[in-house]
Amino acid sequence: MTGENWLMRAAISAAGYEQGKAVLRDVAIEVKPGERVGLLGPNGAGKSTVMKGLLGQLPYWVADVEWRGTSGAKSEAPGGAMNRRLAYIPEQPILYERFTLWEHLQLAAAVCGISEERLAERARGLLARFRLERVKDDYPIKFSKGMQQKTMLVAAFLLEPSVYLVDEPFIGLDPAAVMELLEALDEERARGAGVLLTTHVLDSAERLCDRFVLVHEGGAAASGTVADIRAAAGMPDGTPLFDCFHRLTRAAAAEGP
Amino acid sequence: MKPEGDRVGRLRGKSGPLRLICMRCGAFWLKSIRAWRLTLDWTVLLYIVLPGLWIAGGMYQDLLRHPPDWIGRLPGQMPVAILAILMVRGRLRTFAEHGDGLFLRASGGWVRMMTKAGLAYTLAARLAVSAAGAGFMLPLMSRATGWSFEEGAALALSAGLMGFVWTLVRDAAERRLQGVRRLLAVYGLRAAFIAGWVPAAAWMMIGDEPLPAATVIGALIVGGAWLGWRRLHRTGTFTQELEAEQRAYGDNVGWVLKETEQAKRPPAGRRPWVLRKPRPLLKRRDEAARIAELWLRAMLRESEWMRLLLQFASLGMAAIWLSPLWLAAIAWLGMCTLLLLWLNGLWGKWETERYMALYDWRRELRSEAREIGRSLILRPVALTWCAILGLHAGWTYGGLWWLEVALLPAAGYLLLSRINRAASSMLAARRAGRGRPDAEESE
Repeated sequence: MTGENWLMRAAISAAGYEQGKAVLRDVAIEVKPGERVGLLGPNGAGKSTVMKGLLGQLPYWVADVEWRGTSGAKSEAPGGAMNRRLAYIPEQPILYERFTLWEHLQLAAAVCGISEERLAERARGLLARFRLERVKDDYPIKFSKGMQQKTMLVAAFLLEPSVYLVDEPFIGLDPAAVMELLEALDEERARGAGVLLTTHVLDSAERLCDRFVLVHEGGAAASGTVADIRAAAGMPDGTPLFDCFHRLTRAAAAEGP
Repeated sequence: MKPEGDRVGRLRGKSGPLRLICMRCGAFWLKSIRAWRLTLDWTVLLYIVLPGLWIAGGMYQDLLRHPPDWIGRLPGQMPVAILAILMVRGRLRTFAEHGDGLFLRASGGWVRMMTKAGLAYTLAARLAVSAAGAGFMLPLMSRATGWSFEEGAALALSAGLMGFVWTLVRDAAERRLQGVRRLLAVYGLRAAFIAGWVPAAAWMMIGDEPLPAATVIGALIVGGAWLGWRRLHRTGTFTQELEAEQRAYGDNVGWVLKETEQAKRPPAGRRPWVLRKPRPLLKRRDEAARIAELWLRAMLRESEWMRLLLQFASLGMAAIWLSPLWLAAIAWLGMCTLLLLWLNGLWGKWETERYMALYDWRRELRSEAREIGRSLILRPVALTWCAILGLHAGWTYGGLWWLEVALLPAAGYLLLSRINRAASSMLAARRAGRGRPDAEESE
């Protein structure tokens, strides 16, 4: 871990879906203010496991997780659900059948201590940005996948947290919505928030992220800036992240477990 | 070595549409039975279901042996209407699955054959249900109306055919309409079918002439065959078939898997029917009250919960009115406690919905919101019971006792607040005892 200017830092010793059975080991992640950190890896590498662990949804979780302003002691079952400190944008939208879009936002605001005035003010801009104003009194469960995802984005941005956990942000969104998402994330970064995002789209990740953590077969294969990743992969300057990723994962596979 | 033709024939049999639909039908019922067994395990069967059936069978036998007077006063339309209600619950089954979209739906022959088999299954199912219903009612009605076995069989046959026609009409309506319009159309058609069927069947059962029965049955056969033929040649039905299958499974196992994702039904319309606008319902606008208000909105939109609540409230009113005053007062307290526990359980389930579980709920906020939420439903129901108790007192003793109509709800209001608060403290103590700081009871 480097420096003291961080928003979230996690040293994950072991994590898994059954007590004592680790599917992820020795992964360290740090998110600094205004930074976008890419959590990359092939299918089944453990990216979503990291996200779930940070959200406190894993039954087996041995990690030191610290947030700015708080100092979490070593914990096996952290309570890390969404609040003013952390917002999660899942790959698959999570919605409640009996709430309208506006009621989803109302619940998020009420649970996270946001006043109704602030909710109205903040939500107005977000709904306009993601073009959801017309449907704010409709059931989002009846929306298309993309619009459902936008609902999740609005609920997350509403909280103005320190750190955003964004799981596969480019899936299900149209190009205009992706641009809106990136712009909104940039504004949040300007406010000082950090972003931890997982993605398979390596070209976009290379363009968007400041640093990377490459997860492979339940462990960290490499981490750092693009230059660090290139060095770890033994690739020359200018090599795309895609090739480095390929080299590193193939090397790890050749070494075996 | 077996002849080649035989082998081909066997292979065709293995992969034919008829075999496939038989397998799917078997799998559907097996899956349903497995789901039922989650609730109906051997202890429930042994101690509740079998004794229940035994008692009900005994009562039925007793009714037949010593028919009470009221049986003779039952109108002849009643069994017809009961059969009609049973019939208009059905839907056309095709046993379509999502995977069919990959290859199977490209083959017109397979689709037609599977649709034919689905139509045959639907007809057989409707006939079986109407035969069971008529078989149950006929022994009783033969005493009330003097119906013969032949008349009962004609009624069962015509009801089954009407049920088959209904499934095809419903299928056509559901394919054309969505959301609220679909729901209204289905309810409207149901009412129209029952309204049309009851007089037709009553006419059919008048006298000993076979002509009316033959006319009704003939018309239903022609109508069913025509609609079935049209349905067989209809294209673009796959989405509707998938939805119908999902709903059929939900109807079958919904009572067991009420809380699981697979039995959950999305709302009918694009927008809520109840409380469409986000206008505040409560004056109090702190966070706990806002959450409780959202829970109330969800509760009022959940038809199953509302149905149970209204049934419980109605039964409570009847119990209070029919009991002696002292017993009614005790019953009021007992029913309030039951209702409170039920509401507490509903809140617990709501709170663990995936969307709610995304957020980090503060313990005090959770507890306070739950208390407000419970009172939002508990109060109107319990105070209505209080008013009924007051009416009962006034009706029984007259005079100043009529004042109880106003006094009892006022006293009940104060008492309910205390009961609700006491419940919160008790539940919090239990939580502390369990040592689960972030958990809430959901009994």
